[in-house]
Amino acid sequence: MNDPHTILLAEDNAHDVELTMAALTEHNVANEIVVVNDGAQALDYLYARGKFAGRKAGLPALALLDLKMPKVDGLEVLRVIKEDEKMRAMPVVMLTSSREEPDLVRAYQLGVNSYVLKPVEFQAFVDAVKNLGVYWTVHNQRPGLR
Amino acid sequence: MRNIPIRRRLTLVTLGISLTVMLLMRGTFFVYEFLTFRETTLRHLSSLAQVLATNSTAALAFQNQDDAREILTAVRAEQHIVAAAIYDRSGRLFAKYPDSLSQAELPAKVGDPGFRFEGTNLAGFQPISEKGRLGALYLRLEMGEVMREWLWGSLRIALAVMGVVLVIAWLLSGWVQTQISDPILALAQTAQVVSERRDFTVRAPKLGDDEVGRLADSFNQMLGQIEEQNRALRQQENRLQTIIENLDEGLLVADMNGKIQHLNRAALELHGFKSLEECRPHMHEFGDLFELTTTAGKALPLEQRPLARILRGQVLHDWEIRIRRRGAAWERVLSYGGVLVKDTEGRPMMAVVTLADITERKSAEDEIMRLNNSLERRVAERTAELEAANKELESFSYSVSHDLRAPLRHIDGFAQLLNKRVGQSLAEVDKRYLNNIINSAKGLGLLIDELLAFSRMGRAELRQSDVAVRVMVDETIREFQPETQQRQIEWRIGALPTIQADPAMLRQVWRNLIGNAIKYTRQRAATTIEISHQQTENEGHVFAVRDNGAGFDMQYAAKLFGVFQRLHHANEFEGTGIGLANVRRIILRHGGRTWAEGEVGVGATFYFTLPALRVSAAKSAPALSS
Repeated sequence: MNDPHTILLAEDNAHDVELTMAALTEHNVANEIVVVNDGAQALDYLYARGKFAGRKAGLPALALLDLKMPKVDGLEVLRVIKEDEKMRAMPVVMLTSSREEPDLVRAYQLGVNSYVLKPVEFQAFVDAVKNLGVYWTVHNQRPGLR
Repeated sequence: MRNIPIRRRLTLVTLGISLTVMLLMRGTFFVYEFLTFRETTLRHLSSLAQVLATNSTAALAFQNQDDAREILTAVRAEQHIVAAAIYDRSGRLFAKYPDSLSQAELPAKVGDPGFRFEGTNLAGFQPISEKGRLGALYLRLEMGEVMREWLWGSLRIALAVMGVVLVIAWLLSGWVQTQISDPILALAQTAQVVSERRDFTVRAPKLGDDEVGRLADSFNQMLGQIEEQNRALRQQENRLQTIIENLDEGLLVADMNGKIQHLNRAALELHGFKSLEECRPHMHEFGDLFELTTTAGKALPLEQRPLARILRGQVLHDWEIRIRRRGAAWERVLSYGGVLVKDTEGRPMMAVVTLADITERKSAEDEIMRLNNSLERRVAERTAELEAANKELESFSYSVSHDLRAPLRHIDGFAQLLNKRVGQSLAEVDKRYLNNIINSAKGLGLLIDELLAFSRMGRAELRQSDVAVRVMVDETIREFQPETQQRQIEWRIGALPTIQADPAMLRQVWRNLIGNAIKYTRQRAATTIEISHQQTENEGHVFAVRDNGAGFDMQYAAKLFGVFQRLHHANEFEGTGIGLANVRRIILRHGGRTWAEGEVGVGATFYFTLPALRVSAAKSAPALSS
């Protein structure tokens, strides 16, 4: 049984993490926000291995991935998630500042659920994050994830 | 007959005619004489018979045989009378002469009176009558000898005359010859001389004004013409020869056996010979002297070489061959052409080969090819370099779009958070400072976006396709809906065509202009934005976006489209000043132009043109507008 209100946030930039968290918490979007700083850690979390070996079972309700991350980047994580039968159904949103067409194309090819740009303006950013959180964890219906 | 010389023929004819005439005449004469002679003899005999008959009447009346006999002997005078006899009334022989004559040699009985020719004799009866028939006299004249005498005499005369005539005829014919056959002979001789020596300068002598003379004239005229023609021909030949010799191209003529008949100077040179003398000894084994290879490097055996091919009927044109002389350091590249020349009946007569020296051209061509290749290589290299540069630029803008935005976001984010937390408790000055930070961050963000768009526009290729402008404009207006839904904006949009343009770039233009129109009319309660189109011959498509907003001072109109140029203060209307520069750049790339009119406080109109090239009729398929 998964926790419907856990959000996985994969972001390498500390500032972005802080801002995102501020936005998420402002609107009480989720119970728990798991933050990882690179793609490898994101995968570790998802597969409950490495330093997350003993984590609570269940998959997050939403994964917010940045594109540019060290070790394993967002697209790679996306690919792994979408190729894994058990994880495929989990919503993945790319939250990134890159508007480059190739990235967009690649992400959608890999099956991303949504691709959202990080607005420069903070207010817009907060709104975007809130909307995302509310949409994906509250409004969006999904099958029971294990 | 035709083969007998004229001279002899003439002589023969003359003689022949003379002889014929003479014989005819003589013959006629002869016959006439003959007949006359016979007649005369007959008459003579008749007369004699009559005389004798008259004389013998007495003897017969008185049955005096001796007298009779005596009378008969008078016949002696006429030596040719061989028999004479008197018959009595009853037809009995009375007397005969000569005595030696037997009875058997005399007719048995008396015949009819009159004398007749019997074979060679003339004989007959003359009745003797004196107051009644007494008897008959028989006389027989032996003609033979008489005739013979006469004949011989006649013949002798004839021959004599003939001889004289023949002599005269001979002389005559001799004369005729000089008149006729000599001139003809002279003509014939001239003709012979001309034909033997091929000398057309001789002329036949004109020996008179008759037909032969005229013939001589015509003959001479003909000779003159031939001489003239020969001269003209020789001239022509000389001219041709000169031309051929002076051709730059080599010309080679060979007979149907492949033996070379003629090479012009250029041909000699192209084969490495300085003169015909130098080449002559090699004429037969011409083929062995040279090695021929195609430009592809294939060696040509004798039967594949140009001359052999031409002799087989092939027509050559611009066939490039490398020719090398064995045993000499001499090599050229020649262009061969050639054809088989046929006579008027279509029989092949000779082969003509043309050679052009293309050694320089070939090496120039090779050089060009080498240069081309190296050029292509260099172009490829440059292109690769350019592509690399482009790629760098792309990754640069990528980093910019990604990496620059992040710190910007942080600045704004934390400033906002700070604002939220302590904003209310700050002094005015501090509040202002914080706001400045926030606004600056915003400004920087916009700048980065527009800079990126601007650079992307510069690099991108123009990808033209059909654009339904009305659709694009509507879509663009919709993009601004968040801003405009609170406002009262009257959109007056005229008929907008379908044109050829780069859709993405054109959209930028509309976005910019419409965005500006919306922005600068913000202070108006009721906004009117007009979008119109016109097509003119000079400019093509002319689009206009008019608003009733803040307008601008025409004095500064030139600056409008400059990069970073702004005519309003940032606190009035935000903006980076890149938008219009972008518009201008895009429109310029399409081959159009941009300008604007404005009046402060009244409004502004922005114009741009797009050339009407390949204006396509509205198609059934929806035009690309995204």
